[in-house]
Amino acid sequence: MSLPARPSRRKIATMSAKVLNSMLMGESSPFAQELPKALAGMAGWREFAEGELLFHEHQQPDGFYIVRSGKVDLRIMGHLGADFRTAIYGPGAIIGLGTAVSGRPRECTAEATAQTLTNFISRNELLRNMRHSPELTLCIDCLLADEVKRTQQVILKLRNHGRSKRP
Amino acid sequence: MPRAKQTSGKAAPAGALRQHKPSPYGFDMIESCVECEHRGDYRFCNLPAVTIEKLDKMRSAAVYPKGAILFLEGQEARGVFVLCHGSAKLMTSSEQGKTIILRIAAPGEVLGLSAAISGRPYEVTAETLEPCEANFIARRDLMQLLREQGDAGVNAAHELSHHYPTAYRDVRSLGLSTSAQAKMARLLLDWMEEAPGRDQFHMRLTHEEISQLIGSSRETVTRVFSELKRKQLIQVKGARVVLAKRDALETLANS
Repeated sequence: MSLPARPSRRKIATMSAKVLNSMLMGESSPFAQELPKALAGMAGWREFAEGELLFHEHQQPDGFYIVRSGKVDLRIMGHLGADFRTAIYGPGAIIGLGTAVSGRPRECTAEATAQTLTNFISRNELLRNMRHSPELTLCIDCLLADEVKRTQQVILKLRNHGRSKRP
Repeated sequence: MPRAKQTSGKAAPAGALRQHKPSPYGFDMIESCVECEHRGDYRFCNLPAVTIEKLDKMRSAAVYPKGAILFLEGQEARGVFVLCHGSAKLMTSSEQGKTIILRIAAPGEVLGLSAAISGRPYEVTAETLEPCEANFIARRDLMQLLREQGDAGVNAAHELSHHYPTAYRDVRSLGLSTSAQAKMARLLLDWMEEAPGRDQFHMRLTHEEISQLIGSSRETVTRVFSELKRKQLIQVKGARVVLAKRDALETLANS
């Protein structure tokens, strides 16, 4: 598969600024659609067959993924072998960004549940670009803020419904 | 359980660079972020001099008593609170109207950051668990700082991503734990891990608050606590909880 042309740093910054301005205007955040396009310039392609793992729990993070097509399950494993699905992601989703930023081990296992095509951005590339572009960094902050909210919603759902109605 | 780093309360020697002012609550107020001795320990505040000077100009410091509400769930995100001293509980309400504590925030944490960055209402209510000092930074100022100072943005990203392990620990506990005993044991072990020496900590939460943290009832928390003491897995001396049998507590947490 041929890789897309890498956009210039200026183009990345422009796209980030557009996202940033709309955020400051208080509009609904469009970065879920825009940022993957900007980040894609730094990315390589990775393809996964059904059942293949993008990463597993406790693994050291080497980067993060943007799902282009297919489907990915996020699971956490119990100590006695039980597992629990926390989310199902489709095209456009960003997976593993939090641990890619923090450098801490993966908190969950990501498994392709269909033939899945992703963009992969390495941790080194991400951190290097964040250091050079405050606007890109702010967009990453926005994505992380979104992720914090989603995780809180999972916790609330679990608290509200307990084990009988797991997501 | 996280604890505030408290200073001695003594006056700074003449000519000292650090500017401290005693608060009515027994800790010295930090008068300047530039001279703050904790700056290097706090994820967000660990910034180069130029950036910290900008931050210092935009903050407004205040001391809050125990039980003060810093912000309310659903309220428009007007800014962030950088917790300098003390701890605060971050809570929300379940569909049944019960209070759920999501996390206990420790000194150095930035409260309301995700809401302020995304421009959405606060997702949680922040209430102080003890007398606290916090710096408020208005959203507009924060966004300007993040936009202009890349290192502040990177620190904000680290601050946001830091809470994943805690959040996933909650998800793991709620989704996979079978008993209140297991959840309680996991919570105690987590608090031990964060305490200096990792074998005892100062309990700042009531049984009611612990029940809101682990998703159980106050009665169950009291019963489980008694059982753990009776089995000598922990010892309780006033507000101090001492770990007596780590292996047994870990086995229980993993059951």
